[in-house]
Amino acid sequence: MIFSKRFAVFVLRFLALGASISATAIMITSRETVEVLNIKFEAKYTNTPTFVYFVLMNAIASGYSLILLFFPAKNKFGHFILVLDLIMVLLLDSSISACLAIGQVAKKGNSHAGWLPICGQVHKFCDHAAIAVAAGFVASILYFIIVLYSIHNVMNLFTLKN
Amino acid sequence: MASEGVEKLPEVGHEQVPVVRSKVDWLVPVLRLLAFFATLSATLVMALNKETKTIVVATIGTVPIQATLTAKFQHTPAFVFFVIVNGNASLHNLLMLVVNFVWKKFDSKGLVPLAIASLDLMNVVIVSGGVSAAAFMGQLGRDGNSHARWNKICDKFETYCNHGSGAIIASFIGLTLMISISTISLVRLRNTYNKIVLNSSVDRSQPNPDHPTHQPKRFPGQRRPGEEFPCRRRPGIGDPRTATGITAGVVSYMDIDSREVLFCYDLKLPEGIIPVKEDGEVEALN
Repeated sequence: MIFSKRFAVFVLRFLALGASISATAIMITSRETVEVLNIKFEAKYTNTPTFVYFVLMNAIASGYSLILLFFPAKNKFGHFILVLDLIMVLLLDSSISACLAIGQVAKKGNSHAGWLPICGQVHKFCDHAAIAVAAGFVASILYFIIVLYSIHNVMNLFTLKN
Repeated sequence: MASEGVEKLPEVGHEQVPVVRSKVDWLVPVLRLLAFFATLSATLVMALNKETKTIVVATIGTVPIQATLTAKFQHTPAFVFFVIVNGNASLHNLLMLVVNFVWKKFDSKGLVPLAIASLDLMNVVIVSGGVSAAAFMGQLGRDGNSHARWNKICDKFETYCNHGSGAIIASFIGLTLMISISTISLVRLRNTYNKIVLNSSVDRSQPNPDHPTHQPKRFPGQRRPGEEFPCRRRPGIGDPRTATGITAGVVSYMDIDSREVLFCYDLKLPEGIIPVKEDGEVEALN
């Protein structure tokens, strides 16, 4: 029973590590150069600070997961790990929210501000970035489940006093 | 045979959650009030954010043609999300502030602190999403994006931008306060649950040093070992005032569904008194 618990949390952390690493990698490799009327139009993830923030947060989360893969499940650092897990969920969630806001402007534009949608010209970059954000979304859900597990670890919250 | 002495030790062995009666009791409500004001101001400032500007577009002859441009918060979905989320958070803070003072009458199982803590966590995560989306949209509006040919709008609509950044700052302050409230509630929950004896779903692979069996327990009327105390009247002793009981030890055993603790005492009788078998409780006295 103890072994199966440790195995379950190990698998969870491994999956979360995979999701955040893939989100980082996909966003970093999203790059497209388009020639429109002899003008080179290059779209990279560094063009907007939102995507840079997204890459940074996912890199931090994957580094954290990598370190924590080698920790046993129940140890005396339980509370510290719980706080760090909470911080990771907060950061990941905020980065996804910001990317969605920017992506919505890129796809639909904002007529009131005079911002034209750019996804029509660099649609490969747009799709690439969308896949990266989807992977980040999966990573944030997995980290949330890990937080629930950490809370249960630390406090035995789901066994109530009768 | 356990006998009660005349004086009683103070009862300290109860499974009781210690009631925190100090100035710490006011910490979370004060923080919650501040967070309520912060998120409420963020909501209101952003919801009433509107600026109208008329600019001259062209001049035909001597008649200038003017265009009226408005900047409203509804134009950007990120700001709409921001308003909704901060409204939700301020309502949550208000409700939790009220619940903080009245929950003891309605709760019988101890679920309310747990519910408050989890709702707090959810609101913290949602508010962080809203505030970060609004912050990045504000940055885009302030600096523009040359690669995407998006012009900045803050030089034309300065009041709109200033109000928006004020609302975002207020929401950040509210978020910080809500994070600290969450942390304090979780720490208090941990202290509460560490003092309750849990049932068998606890992982017993490692000894829990906070469990009561690791700490010396005192029952009402328990004496220290080797202590002598005067006896009450017991059958077979005669005049009880001349006898003293000496604590010998404690035997405790656990059955499937019950747990018994027996206090054993030695009886020190003065010279000359021979105990007589009177009530059939003992078989023989040698």
